[in-house]
Formats: sequence, C-alpha cells, structure tokens
Amino acid sequence: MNKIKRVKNPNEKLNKWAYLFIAPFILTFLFFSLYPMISSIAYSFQNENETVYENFTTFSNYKVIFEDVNFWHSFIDTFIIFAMNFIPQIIAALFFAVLFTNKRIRMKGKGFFKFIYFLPNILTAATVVIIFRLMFMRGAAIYDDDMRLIGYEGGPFYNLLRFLGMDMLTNPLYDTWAVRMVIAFILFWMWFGNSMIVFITGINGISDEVFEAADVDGASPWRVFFSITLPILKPIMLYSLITSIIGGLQMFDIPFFMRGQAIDPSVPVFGGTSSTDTITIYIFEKMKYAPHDYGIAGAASVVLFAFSLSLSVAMYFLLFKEKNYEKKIWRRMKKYEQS
Amino acid sequence: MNKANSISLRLHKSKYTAGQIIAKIILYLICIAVAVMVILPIISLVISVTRASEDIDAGFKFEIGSHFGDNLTGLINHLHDPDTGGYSIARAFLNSVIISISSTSLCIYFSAMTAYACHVYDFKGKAFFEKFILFLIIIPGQLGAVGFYTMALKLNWMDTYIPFIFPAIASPSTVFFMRQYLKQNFSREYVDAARMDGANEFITFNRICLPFIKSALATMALFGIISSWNNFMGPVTFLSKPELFTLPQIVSYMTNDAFIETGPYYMGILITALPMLLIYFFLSKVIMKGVSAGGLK
Repeated sequence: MNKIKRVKNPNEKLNKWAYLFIAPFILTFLFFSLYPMISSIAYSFQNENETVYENFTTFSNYKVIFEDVNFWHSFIDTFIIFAMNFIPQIIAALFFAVLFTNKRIRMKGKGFFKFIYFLPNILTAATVVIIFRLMFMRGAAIYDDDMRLIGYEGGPFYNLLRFLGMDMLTNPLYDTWAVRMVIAFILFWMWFGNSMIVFITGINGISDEVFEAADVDGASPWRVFFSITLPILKPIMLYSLITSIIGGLQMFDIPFFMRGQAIDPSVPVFGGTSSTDTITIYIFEKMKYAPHDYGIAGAASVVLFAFSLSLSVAMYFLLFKEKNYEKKIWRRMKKYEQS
Repeated sequence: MNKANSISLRLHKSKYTAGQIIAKIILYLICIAVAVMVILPIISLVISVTRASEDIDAGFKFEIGSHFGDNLTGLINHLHDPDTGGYSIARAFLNSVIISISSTSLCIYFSAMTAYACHVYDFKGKAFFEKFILFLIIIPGQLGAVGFYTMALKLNWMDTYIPFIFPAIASPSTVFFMRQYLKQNFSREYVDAARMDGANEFITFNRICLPFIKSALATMALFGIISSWNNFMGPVTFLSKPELFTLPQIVSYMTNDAFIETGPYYMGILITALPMLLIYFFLSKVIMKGVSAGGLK
C-alpha cells in the first residue's frame, strides 16, 4: 500500500521528513546560539553586576566602553599586530604558492615543503606561545674580560637576533614593541602555510589555457604573475584579509599566554595596560571576574559584532564584483591581440 | 651532495642555462631555510624536554640530554602534589579526549543530517534556511558569549562539559561543507533506489548516505577534533575544578605556577602538542585537502 502511494506522489509526502532532519540543528541553534546572542544584546542595555541591577539604561554601557582608553588600545594594537603579520604572511604565501605550482620551475619535494609549512597551523596556540618563549628566551648573562655585560645567552631566535646585531641588552619578552613583533611572528609562523595552501588551490583553479595563451604571446613570468595570477587570486586575498582582521579581534589564547606571570605584568601588550588585551579578552575579563559587569561585556561584544559584520558585508559586495575574473582576463587578452 | 648532483644533472639534460641552475639552487635554499625556521621551534621543544631544568634555564643549546624520564616524573609529581593544586596530566589528557570525541561526533553526524535534508528534500523555507546558514558562518561567536555564560550560570552548567559538547550539534560551517560535498558527489537517485526497496528515511540516511560521504565526514571530524583539542577560552570560562581541566588549561596553570621547574613544564607542553602532531603526521593530506576545499579558517 505504501508503495502505491509513493509512486503516485513520491516526494511531496516524504518532504516532511526534512523538518525532522533539520530539527536538531534548529533547536540547538535557538537554544545555544540565538538566545545567548539576544540576551547579550539585552545585557548591553542594562546595568547589571553583582551589586546593581538597573533595567534599560539605554546607551550608558556603550558610553563607558567608548570612553575606556583600554578598549581603544586593544583595537589599535590588534591592527598594529595584524599589519605586522599579514603583509609578510601574504607575500610568503604567494611566493611559495607560485613556486610550487609553476610548471616551468617544477620544484622537487613540493609535498615535503608543504607538509612542513602547514604544520604549525594545527598546534595548540597555548603551546605555541610557550615554545616561542623558549625561542626568544634570554638566559644567563655573558661578560667580557673586564666583566662588562656584553649580552645574554638565549633561545635560538634570540641568538639569531643577537647575531644580526639586534637586541643585545633588552629582553624581547619584556619590551612592548618586541612583544608585538614576537606575536606577529607567531601568527605569521602559524598561518602562512594555511594561506599558501589556499592560494595553491586558487592557482590550480585557473585553467591551463590562460597560461598557455600568455606563453604563446610571449609574456614574461613577471607579466604573467601581475596580469593573471595576482588578479585571479584577489578575491582569495581579500577573503584572508577580512578573516585575519576578524580573527585578530577575536584572538584569545595567544595574548592571554603572552602575558602570563612569567612575563612582567606591567608590560602593555595589547592595550594600555596588561589588564586589557584583545577585545575578546576585554569581554572575558568583564564577565568572568568580579564585579561581573555583564552590561559592559555585552556592549563590547555588540561593538565587536557590528564591526566584524560590516567588514564581512563589505567583503561580500567586493567579492561579488570580482566574480568571473578569468573571463575578464580573456576579454582583455583578446583586446590586446586586436590592438 | 648526491641530491644536488642529480638535480644539476637533470638540469643539464633538459638544457637549462647556468643562470637558471643558479636560480633554482637559490630557490631550494630559500625553501630549506624557511622549512628550518618553521620546524626549529618544535625541534627545540623536543630537545629541551630531554635536558635538565638548570641547563634549560641557563640558555638553549642543541644538546640532547638524558633527563626525559626525570622531567616526566617531575611533571606528574609536581601536578599531583596537593599543596600545589592536585592536578593530573593523565586525567587532563582523558578529559581533552572525551570532549573532542563527543563534540566532534555530534557535530559531524547532525551536520551531515542537516545537509542531507537540504540536499534530498524540497521543503518550505529551504532557500531561506540555506542562506541563513551561510549568514551564520560570518557571525562572530563572541556576540553570544555573555548570554551563554549567564545562561550556564543559571542552569548550573558550570563545571560540566555541556557547554562544549552540545552546541557542536549546530555548526553552520560544517553543514556548508557537507552540503557542497553532497552536491558534487551524492546523487538523489541513490535515495530513490533505497526508497523503492522500502527503506525508511532514517535508514536511508544512515546506511546509504553516511557511508557514501565517509571522506567528508573524516575531514570534518579532523577539523573538529583539532579545534576542540586546541580550545582554551571555553574551558577557562566554564571549568574551575582541577579534575575537570583540559590540557590547554593545565598549560595555563603551569604557566602561572612559579614553583614548577622548566624541564617538567616543557614536558607538559609536549604532551599537549603531541597528539595533534601525530594526527598531522599521518593525515596531513586529508587536512590540507579540507583546507583547500573549504577555505576554512
């Protein structure tokens, strides 16, 4: 009997099953994501902590965070560190992606290099920071014959810096700019392999005909890179740019471990004082520690959300414009041939 | 040396000019230098774990020591000492495993189910639902942090694993990945054939679809395990009892512990990093494929 029904109108009846299949997702989303989001927004308009409860204070929480120097410092520091890590990261990723996909150079051992370069990406951020403390560590003092301090023993990267004539006497783990450099380097180290893999996929997606046509026309490798590879990778680069900024604002573990007690707690890393690091740490500390200013934490997360969302929306429209770049390049090449 | 010779020989065969050979050697040297830069920190950690604490404190040296066992017992004893906390590295390891495995299994099973519903059925609101999932991917998780924290307080979820395990059921990016995979690889005809044989819809999903998308499930499982293993903010927000701590929390505890010696400390770091290194060593190809397929961050 069932069979006959199904043959009659096979899909319509069974389509109801879809609601059962998506129900776990929707229920979990409503309960664990949507409700917390709405209540965060609600908190941002309330003045609630252990001692006070004031319903609906309009924008007073927002006023507090916008007047908080630490909040702005964490924003600015995020961007400084972002700039210091993103530019070298993209350059290195592009360089190796082009090198490993180039059909003329035909590198040997590509697989091995890719394996090594991507490796740091899967490590726990907490452990990575500790490893880099070891690398940049300053150890025992070194004196010359007259017992004057000339430097320190240190980790491999510290010794390298010393070898390059930098940082003879300051400890890179105690100096604001040096700490920023160390964090930027950690991020570079963790993420350039990931960007490289994404770029390689992008380059492999370009049809061989485009490159062959350019070859026939006698274009130099540089010309091919700047006129074909780079423009086609532009959307991917834009994507990693935006996700890196958002990821930087949300970063938690690296700055958290970078300022553990082993490091001088008075050193400002992210923010004006060490009590503020990234915005996520700002939110965490406001909500977790007494007096539990949920209102201020909520307001900070709404600001973070608004900022990230507008970046993502901007990216969406920019990417939408950039679609079909390969076709555009074909057209341009044809025009070039005609002229 | 041999390798370099064979390379240059092959270059001669294919009629490269001297300039090109030099360029190629330079490119290889750059690749090797960067590879050394990438791998050096990890090797340094492994070397340090074998050295005595005083030697590590004095300064780094490329010298493999004989203190591996001492550092391991030192770590276990120090953490166990009730005066300094009463932690257990083995328990933390087990906790990390429990959280990763359970949250990841829920995540991939229900994500596959949601993606399957979008792929196989035509239901009302499907177009909206799919766009909505895309939109959810770009929303930063921190927006709900405060609300989730207060909710967990009210429902007595502090010091339980509920906040890490159950939210994994709704993972928009995993659903998106599975949906793309189903679109490319799974034809609706399989479903129709199963229905003709009288299979129930759930059985069709479990017995026909799931085995078919094994590789996508495996990829997403890897990503889930890695991100869950590396998660630090979640545990540090919700867990305060030492016996519930995860490995990254143990790392944090040791970092703030002025009395721990350096050797055991680095041993703790290595134990935290090792499972991920092993997973990567055997499954790096699957991970890289996943990265290039989804552009996942």
